[in-house]
Amino acid sequence: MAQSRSRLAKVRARLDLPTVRRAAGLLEGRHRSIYSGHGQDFDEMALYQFGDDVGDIDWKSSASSGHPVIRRFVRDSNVAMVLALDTGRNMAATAPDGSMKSDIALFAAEVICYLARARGDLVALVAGDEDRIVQIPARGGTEHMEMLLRRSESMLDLEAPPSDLNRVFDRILTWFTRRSLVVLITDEARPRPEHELGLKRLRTRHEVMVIQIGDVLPTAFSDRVIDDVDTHLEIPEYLRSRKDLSAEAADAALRRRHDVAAMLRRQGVEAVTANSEDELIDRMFDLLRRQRRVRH
Amino acid sequence: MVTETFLHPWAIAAVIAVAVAALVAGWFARAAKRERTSVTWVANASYLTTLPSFRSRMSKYRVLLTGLAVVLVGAVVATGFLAARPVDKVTRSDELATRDIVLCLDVSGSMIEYDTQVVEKFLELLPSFNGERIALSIWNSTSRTVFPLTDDYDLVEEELRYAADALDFDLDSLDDLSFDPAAYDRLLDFVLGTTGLGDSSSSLVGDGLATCALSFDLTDTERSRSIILATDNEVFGNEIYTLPEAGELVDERGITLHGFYAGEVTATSAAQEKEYRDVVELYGGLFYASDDPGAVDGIIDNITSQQAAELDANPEVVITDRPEEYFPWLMALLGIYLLAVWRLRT
Repeated sequence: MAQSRSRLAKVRARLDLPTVRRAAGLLEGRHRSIYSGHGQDFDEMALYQFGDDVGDIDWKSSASSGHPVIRRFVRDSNVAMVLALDTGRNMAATAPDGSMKSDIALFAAEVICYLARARGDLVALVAGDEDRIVQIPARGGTEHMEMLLRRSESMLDLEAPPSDLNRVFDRILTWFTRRSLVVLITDEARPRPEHELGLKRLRTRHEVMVIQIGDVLPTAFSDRVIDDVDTHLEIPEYLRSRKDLSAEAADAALRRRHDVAAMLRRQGVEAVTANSEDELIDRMFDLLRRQRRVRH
Repeated sequence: MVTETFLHPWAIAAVIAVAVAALVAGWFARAAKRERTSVTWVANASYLTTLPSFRSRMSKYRVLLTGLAVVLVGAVVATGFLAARPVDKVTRSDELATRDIVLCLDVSGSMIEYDTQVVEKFLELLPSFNGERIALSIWNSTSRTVFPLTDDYDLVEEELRYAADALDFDLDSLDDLSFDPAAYDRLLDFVLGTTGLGDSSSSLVGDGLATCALSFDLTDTERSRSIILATDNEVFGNEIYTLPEAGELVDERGITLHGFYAGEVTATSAAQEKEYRDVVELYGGLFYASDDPGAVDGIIDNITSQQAAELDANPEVVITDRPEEYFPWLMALLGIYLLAVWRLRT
């Protein structure tokens, strides 16, 4: 690449080798678990876990072992991931560590692309909000990933339209008919209840993983003028740095996180919330590991 | 005469206009500043305004702001008043201050109402006196000096007030016995000693006037001397001085006689009024006749201005700043304002 600041190279610099290996291994395991199911080649017998298709239960084996057992098959088709990116202006706001949420979101996308490239997987992009929708079909290779990330980066800014995840979901449902791993990158307040139906439909066809970028508390700044990207917020100086207000805001934010988490759990979607780039790496690997434990 | 006034009344409007202009300018400056200062953008924070503590604090904040606005408006108004220079204007003339005035009042029954008016008018004029001396002499068949010529205005005020109070009696109420006995006693007490020479004589105007003429002192100093005589000139009994004789005596002593006539219309009243008028006008005094007690006010103003003209008195206006009424307000409001702003900022 002519460009010196390759995004993937940057990720490479941040992840140490053991981590990368571990992560790649985790992703591999994850992929197997995603694509195992309805292929032709029998893979293995495994104990039924919550979330497995009930139709896969091998009743004879279950009867003999005394536990529900499923039969796994390996899918022989190409592996594809869909990077579903929320590009609403909410993603360009401030993260809890003071950095931009968009930076953390991009970093998450970079890590995903990096791991996918390492495995030779294909990555597609569906990025959208209320007005825009950008779709890049699944392809492999460094050039493609770099282009995809640059495209994502150009869409994340404060001038962007408000977020609308349902448009992103609809686009994925329309264009990606093959079972894929959809990695949704949004913020801690989403998916909202109005996205639940879309998520449910998405979930029937794809494996879904959500990476949520944390939002900074609006009460975290005592000396700066803050404003909400979606609804204008006028906080007079008198109300800044009030401890009780801070506590109450933290409480409300936590409750909202719990609500979103409960909804995602209901839909069988794994999710992580990251408040900073460093936390993101740990959380993503936690997520992959957790997924693997469930599946194997 | 002391008048409280503003030296620059337009300053009130000017200060308020400046404050409003500053407010508008501040508003735009604030908007521009807001534009320039970097806003820290957050997302999904709209829940903040729904938090109970936010709402309660916000309403408290609004109350504080409203209070602040009220305080500020008050401070601006106080500043306006101060900038308008509240002053006491005293028009004072040294020539007028050399006046000696003897109030020479006939306290026979028919004149009591007019006497009250004269006394009350002088009570009103009293605060503007500065060096003038005043005496009150009442007479019927004999004279009583209530107080001699003095510039002890505390005493004068006290006596005039008592006189006004005592003379404020409706004689008609004696007929139907509806009078207040205490008020009647007060009147009798006040006019005591003016009916000494038997019951047959009353309103001995010549004697009364002569007594008044003799009540001037300091004859060797240059002072303006005047008598304000109020009578109906209805004489019963034998006088030592007739009215013309008394008038001559008055003139001899360099005293100006101003007359006020308020008689009932009787067979002899025209002659009485004419005699009275002739005496007063012969020596260059001012003569007024009226059956309306309310006219007394204007008459005394006329006499005063006539005296001012005769004495060639150039009234001198003395201005005294009186900020003490508004200054504590401004200080208190500014103090409250600073406290409130400090409270809002922390």
